[in-house]
Amino acid sequence: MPSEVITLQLGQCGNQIGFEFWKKLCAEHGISSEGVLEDFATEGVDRKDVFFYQADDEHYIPRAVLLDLEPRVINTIMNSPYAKLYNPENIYLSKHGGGAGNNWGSGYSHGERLFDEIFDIIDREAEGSENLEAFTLCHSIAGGTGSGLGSYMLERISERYPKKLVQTYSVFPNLAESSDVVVQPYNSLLTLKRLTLNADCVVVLDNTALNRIATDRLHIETPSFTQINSLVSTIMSASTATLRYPSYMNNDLIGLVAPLIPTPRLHFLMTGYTPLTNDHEETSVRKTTVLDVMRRLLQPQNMMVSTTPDRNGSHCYTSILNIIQGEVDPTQIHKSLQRIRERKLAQFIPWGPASIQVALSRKSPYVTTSHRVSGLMLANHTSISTLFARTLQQFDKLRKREAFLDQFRKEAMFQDSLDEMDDSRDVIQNLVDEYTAATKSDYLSWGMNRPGSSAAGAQTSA
Amino acid sequence: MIREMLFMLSGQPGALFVLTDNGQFEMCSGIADVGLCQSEKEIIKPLLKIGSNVAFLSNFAEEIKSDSLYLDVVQQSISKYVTEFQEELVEIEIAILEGSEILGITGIHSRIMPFTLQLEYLKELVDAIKLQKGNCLLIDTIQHYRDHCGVSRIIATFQEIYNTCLKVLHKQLVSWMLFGKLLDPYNEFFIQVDDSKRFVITGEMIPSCLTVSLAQQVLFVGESVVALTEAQDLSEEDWEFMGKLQKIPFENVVEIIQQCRDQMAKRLWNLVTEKDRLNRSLNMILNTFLMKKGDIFAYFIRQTENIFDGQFSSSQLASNQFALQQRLMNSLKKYLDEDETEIERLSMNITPDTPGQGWDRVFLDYKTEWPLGVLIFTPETMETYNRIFRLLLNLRRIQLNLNGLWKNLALLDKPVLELRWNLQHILIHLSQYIQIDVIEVQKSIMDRQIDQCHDFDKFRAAHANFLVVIAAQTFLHVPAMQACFKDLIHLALKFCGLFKNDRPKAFLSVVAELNLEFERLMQLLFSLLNGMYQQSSGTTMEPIAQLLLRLDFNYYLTEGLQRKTNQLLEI
Repeated sequence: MPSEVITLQLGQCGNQIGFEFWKKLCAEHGISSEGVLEDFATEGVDRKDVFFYQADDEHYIPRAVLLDLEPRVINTIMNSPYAKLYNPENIYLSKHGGGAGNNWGSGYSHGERLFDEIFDIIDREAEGSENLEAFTLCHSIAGGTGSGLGSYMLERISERYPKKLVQTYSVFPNLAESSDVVVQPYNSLLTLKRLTLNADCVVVLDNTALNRIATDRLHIETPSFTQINSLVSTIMSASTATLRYPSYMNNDLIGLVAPLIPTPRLHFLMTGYTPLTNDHEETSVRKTTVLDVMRRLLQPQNMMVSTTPDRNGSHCYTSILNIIQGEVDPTQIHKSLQRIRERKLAQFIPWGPASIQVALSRKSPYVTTSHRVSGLMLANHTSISTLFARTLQQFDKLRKREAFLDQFRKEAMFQDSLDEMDDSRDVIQNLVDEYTAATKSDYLSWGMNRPGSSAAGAQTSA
Repeated sequence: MIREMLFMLSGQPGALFVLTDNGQFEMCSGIADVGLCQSEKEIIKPLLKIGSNVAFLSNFAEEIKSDSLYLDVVQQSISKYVTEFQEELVEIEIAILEGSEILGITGIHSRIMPFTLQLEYLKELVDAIKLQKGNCLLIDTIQHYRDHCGVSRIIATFQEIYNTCLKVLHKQLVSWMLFGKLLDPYNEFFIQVDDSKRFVITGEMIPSCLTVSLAQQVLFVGESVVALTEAQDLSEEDWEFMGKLQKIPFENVVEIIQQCRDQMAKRLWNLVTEKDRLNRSLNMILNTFLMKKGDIFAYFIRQTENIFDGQFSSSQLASNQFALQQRLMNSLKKYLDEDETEIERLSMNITPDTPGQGWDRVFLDYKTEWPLGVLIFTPETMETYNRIFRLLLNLRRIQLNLNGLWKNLALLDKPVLELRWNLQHILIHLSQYIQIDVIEVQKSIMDRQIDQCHDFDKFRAAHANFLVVIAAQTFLHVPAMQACFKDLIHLALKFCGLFKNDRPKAFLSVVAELNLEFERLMQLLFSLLNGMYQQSSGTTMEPIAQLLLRLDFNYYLTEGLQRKTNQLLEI
C-alpha cells in the first residue's frame, strides 16, 4: 500500500504552483519532462509510487488533476516541455473558458455545474490507486476559481471520501500591495470557512511573506511569479520528502499531520525553509550545520507566513516538525534541541506536552545543491490566527459599506440573502478565538460548555 | 642390610624397611639398630626420606590416569628422574657386588647425596600438581617452582619439565592457529567450545606466558582459519606464513601471534566484504531489525493487524507464523531494494512456549551469509537485535493505530483529544530518542570506527560496542523501564480499542480512567528516569538526560506532575 496522494490543482495559481511542484519532483526522482526515468537514475532508495504511477509503457505519470475555468495557465503547461508528463484525461478546462471572474460565487456555482465531469476524473484517479490516502489541493484563496471552485470541491470531497485525508496548499494574497481583485476579502473569507470545516490540514503559503522573503533574503527587487512559485515548490517538495525517501517515521501523510494537529480546528500550518538560495547567488550560503538550520527555522524572518507582531508575547507553538535533509551528524540533533530549549528560542503551549520532532531525510542524489544540510519546518503556531484576524478586518470594512456585493448577488447562493457571508465570518471569528484560547493553560476546557461546539459542522459563536 | 637399604631407596618396601600408611618408610622395630654405628644411625633418617620420596614419585609416575596431556608429560619427566636415580642405585649395587669399592651406609649416602635435593623438590612439585586439575595451568605451577628455587641443578630440572609442558601448549596453539582444530581431548586449553558451539576463551585458563590480549588474538586466528578453510580461501602464502608457527620455538611463537592476527584479520576482512556482503547484511539489519526503512513496516503492520486477534492458541501457531512470514516477504519485496535471495534470508517466527500476547513473541531470524553468522551475527547478538526489534515494532504499531483514529477523533470530546495528544507525544518522542539519539548516533560512531578499516577484528569490536550501547540506552537491561514501556503500549492499545466497535456506554468514564492511568505511568516513568539519572554519572547520565529533554521539552509533564503532587499534599 503506497498510501497514494492525489494532487488537485485549481485555477491559475494552483496550476502554476502545481506545475513547479511536479517539475521539482521529476528532477528529484530523475524523471524526464516526458515521464521517462533517466539513465542515471539508478539509486533505488526513493519511492515514486506515492505521487506517480507507471503507465503500461513504463512512463511515470503524476497523480495530478489539473482544473481551470480559463485556459491561459493550462495552455502554458501544455506548450512546455512537460506537456507529455500529465495524463491528458486528467486535464479539465471549462468549455466556456471565461473563468470565474475573480468571484468566489462564480467559481462555486461553476463547480455545481461541472460536478459530474470533474468527479469522473477524480473518481477514476482514486480507483486507480491501491490505497489512496489523501487529496492535496493547490489553490489560491483570493481569486475566483481556486477559491470558489476549490471551496465547492472541498465540501464534496469530504462528503464523498470521508475517510481520506484532505490537505491543502493554500496561497494567501499579498496584503502589502493593493490588489486589482477588490472582492479579495470576500473570496478569502468564504474560502477560509471551507478550509476550516472541510479540510484536515492547511499549509498556509502567504504571498505577503513569500514576497518579503524574496526581497529581503534573496535580494530580488521585484520578485516574479515564477520566483515566488519556485519558493513554494521547494516547500511542497521538502514537506513530502519523508514520504518519498522513507526513513524511520513520517512515511505517510497522516504520520506527518497527526502529530502536528491536536484538535480538529487547529489545523493551519506555517512553514519555514532554510537555507534559501536563488539561481543567481548560489554562493551566498555559508556553512550550514544542523544547529544553524534548526535555529534559523525558528527565526520569524524565515517563516512563510506574515503574522502580526505579538505584543503580549502570548502566542506559542503547538507543535513543530523539522524535516532535515542532507548530510547530518546525528549527534548534532540533541545538541540543537538542548540549545533551543536553554535559550528559549521557541515558546510552547501551556496546556499539554509539546516538543520539536525531527525527521531526517535523504536528499535527492540527482539534484546538486550548494549546501550540505537544508531544513523545512512545519509548525502549528497560534499566531497564524492574526492572518485570519486581518482577513476579518478587511472583510468587515467592505461588508459594512456593502461594497462590491452586486456580483455576488448574481449567484444562486447569495440571491436570497448574504447569510453565507455572515456565517463564514462567524466560523472564522470562532477560529481566531480558538487559537487565542490555545495560548492559555485552560484551552482544553475552552468551549466545553457550548453545545455542539466541538462537533463537526458549522459553528455559531456564543 | 645394604641390599634391603638399596631396595628401600628404589622405593620398594622389604623385610627391614616397611612403608607406613602415610607413605613413609621406617625400619621394622625389633631389628632396629642392628650393627649400626652412631653416624650410620644419623644417616638412616634422610635415607628413609629419600626412599619415601622415590616411592611417592614412582607411584605418581606409574599411575595410569591419563586424563591430561600436561600430566602425561609431567609423569614422563618424573619417571625419567626416578629411573635415573634407580640406575644410580643399580650401579652402586654392582660396585658393591664386585667389591671394587667398600661401601657402607655412609658410602651409599654420599653417592646419592646429589639426588636428595632433586627428589625432595620433585616431591613438593608433585604434591602441588596433585592438588590441581591437569591442564595448561600446570605450566604456571612448574614455573613458580622454577622461579622460587636457588639451586642451579634443580632449576635446570624444573626448566626441563617446564619445557616439556610448553611443548604441549605449543602443539595445541599450532593446531588451533594453523588448522583451526582444538587438539585438546581433555579440555585443558584456554580456548573451549561453549554450549552454543562457539569458541570462547576461559579467562582463568590462560597461562601466564600469554596475556589476555594474546589469547584473544590466538582465538581470533583460529576462528579465522576455520572460516577461511571452509571458504577454501587460504592461500599458499598464508600457509607459508602460518607454517612458521610449527617450526619455531615457543618464545618466537608468542612474538608472531600478533602478525598472524593481522594477516588473518586482513584475509577475513576481504572474505566478509567480498561482494559487499558485510555492508549488505548490516544494512539489512538496520533496515529491518532496527526498522530504519519505516515504510516496510508500515505496510507490514497494516497487513498483519488482525493476525493476533482474539485468543492466541498454540493450534494457530503454525498458521499465524505462515501468515506473518508471507506478509513480511511481501512487504520486503515491495519496499526493500534488495535481491530476492537476500530478502529470503529473513523470516519471522513465533516462539512457541513463552508467555505474552502474540506480538511479544515474534522474532526475526536472519540467515546471514556464511561466515558472518558464526563470527559477528551470532545467536546472542541476534537475540539482542530481536529485543530491540520487538520494542520498536510495538511502538510503531501503536503509532499507526493512533494515526488511524485521527480522522475519527475530529468528532470527539476534549478528554479524548487530550489523551490522544499525550499518548502520541510520548510515543513519538520515545521513538525519536531511540531512533535518532541512540541508533543513528551509535551508527555514526560505528561508521567512523570502521571507516577505512580493513581489519575484521576491529570491525567486530566496533559492531559489538554499537549493539551494547544501543541495548543499554534503550534500557533493555532495566526491567522496570521495560515494564513501563509495556504498560504504556498496553494503555495505548486499550485506548485505540475503544474506537474499534460502537462507542461503549461508559465511553467517557473509560477515557477518564485511561487518563488517570496515563498520569500514573508518566509519574512512574519520570521517577524511574530521575532515579537513574541521579545514580548515574558521565556517559550513562547523558542518554537519560536526552530522553528527559525529548519527553519534557516544554516542561509540561514534570510541572504537571508537580502540580498533581501539590494538590495531593494540600488535601
